Amino acid sequence: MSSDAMPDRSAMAAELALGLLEGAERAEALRLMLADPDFAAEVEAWRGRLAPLYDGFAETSAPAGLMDRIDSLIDAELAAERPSPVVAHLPARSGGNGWKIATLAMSAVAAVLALALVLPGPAVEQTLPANPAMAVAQLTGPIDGLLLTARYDSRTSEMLVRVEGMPVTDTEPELWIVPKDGQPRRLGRLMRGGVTRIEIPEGHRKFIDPLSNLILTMEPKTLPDPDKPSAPTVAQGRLQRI
Amino acid sequence: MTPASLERRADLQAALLRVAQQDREALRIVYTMTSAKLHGVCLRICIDRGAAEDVLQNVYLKVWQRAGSFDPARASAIAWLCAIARNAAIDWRRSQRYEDPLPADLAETLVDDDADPSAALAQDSERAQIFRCLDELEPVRASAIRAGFYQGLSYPEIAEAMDKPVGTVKSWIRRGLMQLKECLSREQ
Repeated sequence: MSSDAMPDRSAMAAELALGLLEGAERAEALRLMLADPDFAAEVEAWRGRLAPLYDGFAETSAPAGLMDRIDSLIDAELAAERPSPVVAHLPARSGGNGWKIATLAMSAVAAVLALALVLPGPAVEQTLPANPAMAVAQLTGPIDGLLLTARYDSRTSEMLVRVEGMPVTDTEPELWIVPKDGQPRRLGRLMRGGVTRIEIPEGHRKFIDPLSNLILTMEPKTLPDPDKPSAPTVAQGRLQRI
Repeated sequence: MTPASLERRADLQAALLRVAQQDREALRIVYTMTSAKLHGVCLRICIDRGAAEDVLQNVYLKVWQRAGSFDPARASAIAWLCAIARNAAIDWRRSQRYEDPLPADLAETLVDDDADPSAALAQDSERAQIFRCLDELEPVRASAIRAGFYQGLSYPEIAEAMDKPVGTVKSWIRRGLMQLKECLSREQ
């Protein structure tokens, strides 16, 4: 809008950060966040600028007993998702079925632990407890609804990564691992939805530890530099051994 | 920032990082330190007390699930938590569409320039800048921006509450945000 003091795109970044956008406008802004690193950086800058305004929300005591209810909900969720030994001894399923079950329980990392036990592979024949050579991570970021769930199995050196809620963009989702030295190492390109299976290169397997983060960037179709991301992080999560 | 508030900030960050490791006790600590604040956020935006309670409950479940994505280099722990609460409350508001009229007193609260009563609580001068910069704006622009931030209203809702066309409100807000950006960069 030429009469406005800000270019449309800058305005949209500010409006998204402020929460003013709805419907198609909001969807377009979220798509741009993934497609355009400059736009994503501008939204992040606006979120940073506006953050001190949170001081302006008055404090109001939360209702008594709410934390106990939250605890009970987490307990119930974990209990519902914890596999019984019978489940753990089921014959191997196809990977597709395993992940279909997994989607029902994706809401907690501990749930992924539970599901790891019903997923296919040699572990299915084993008894509880969990194989310690598993690691999981959930990746989220500023894109509402975008959720990645990763599960690494050291026996196969494979990482299964499920992607949900990815807007349509011209760029491609690229997964990296960032160990404690802070240097990202490329793990591979992901499919925009469903489950991608990545074989972790031998040199990178040592980085699978609880000090490492997984990050997602949206890269051009031809990766400018396979040794480092060219775009900002749009989702991240810490690895946890289970 | 005072030493006490710096210490509190560090304690909260440490607890949130422990929640990422699925530490239930740490979640209780985060709750104790922040539930009044996040309840304030939810209540302001949802207005309805029962809804705010439900949203707040879900906020802490999200915190439990998503703490692994908290990055202290990108945001303070309290800003990260407030953002989750504000987004969840806005999502609830927008899911309630809106055969219901806006609350009758909304227009009054919109032009209440005490909408940031804790400006004085902004603990250091850097954080206080944005409140000073908002005060420099034309009052209607500042009110419209505050309505978006503190009440989670969309353009059409702000326009209705201020009894102005959407285009006018959009222009006010965009110009106001531009001025805000200039003011903040000037003062840095």
